[in-house]
Amino acid sequence: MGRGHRALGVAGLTLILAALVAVFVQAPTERHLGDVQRIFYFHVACAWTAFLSFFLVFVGSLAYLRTRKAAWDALAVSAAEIGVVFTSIALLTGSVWAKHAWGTWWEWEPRLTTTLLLWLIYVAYLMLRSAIPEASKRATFSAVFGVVGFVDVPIVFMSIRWWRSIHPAVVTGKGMDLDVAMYPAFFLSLAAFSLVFVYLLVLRTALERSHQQLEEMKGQATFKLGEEVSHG
Amino acid sequence: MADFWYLALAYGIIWLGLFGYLFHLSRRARDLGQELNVLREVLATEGRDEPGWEDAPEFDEEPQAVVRERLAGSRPAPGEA
Repeated sequence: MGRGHRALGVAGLTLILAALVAVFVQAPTERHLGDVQRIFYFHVACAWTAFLSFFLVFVGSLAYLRTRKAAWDALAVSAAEIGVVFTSIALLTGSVWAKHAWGTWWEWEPRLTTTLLLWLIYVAYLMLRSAIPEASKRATFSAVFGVVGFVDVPIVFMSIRWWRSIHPAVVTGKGMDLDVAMYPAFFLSLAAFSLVFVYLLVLRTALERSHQQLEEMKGQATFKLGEEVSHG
Repeated sequence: MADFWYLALAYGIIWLGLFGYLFHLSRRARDLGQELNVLREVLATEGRDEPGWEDAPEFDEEPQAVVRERLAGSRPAPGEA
């Protein structure tokens, strides 16, 4: 990893610290939920980052199916893995908030259920990949899965409008349903997590490219050994 | 006080998730780098008359398994014997 990547990491960490200050110092305490409402800022940022990740899985998968270039497959799998991490965090932090706000850790309501489904789709995507040994077949199958799986993302987003839901809505048809004094903490958190996402994506994609290179070299080594056995 | 525990639990999950994943990635990068170096070494070693080649794997052996053995130190790399 080069200097640019390190600078990205430092910038991400700085923004996270700034967001923490905004969340715990600048943002006002919510009247009904009290300090627990401060979970909201990073919880939404995690959900946003997960959506961004799955959008990139969709883009990478489509691009792979068009071009058959391994770099697109590397981008797709990297984004899927990061998306699963952020969805897990969003589900768990949401559960903590639900316990305080609704008195239960889990409720089978549309937003939570579709988000759990989203998590299961991308966990299945990663499991599918580990089950197929041949690289090109693995990339093709998972690209198709990555395109189809993305269908659930708009469903998760729209679920609170389409069905009766107890989950609060920040973005409504009339705009943002949020106190203006909470905007700095909210947008700083979104920016910080987006930057952390880019940092992780660069790191994970480089790792996947090395893994692809390793697989290629193993193929060469097998071929070389085979040639020598047949000649000798 | 209950507010504090919910808040601490949620932010604990966030940091554990993020730093845990970062730690996992750095470990994978280190292991992969080591494996790549060993494989590069194996591929760079050409003829069988080089010292240590007699210890080279049979064709039916999995190259990955061989690399793992070398990394674990139970099989010396060609030229090391």
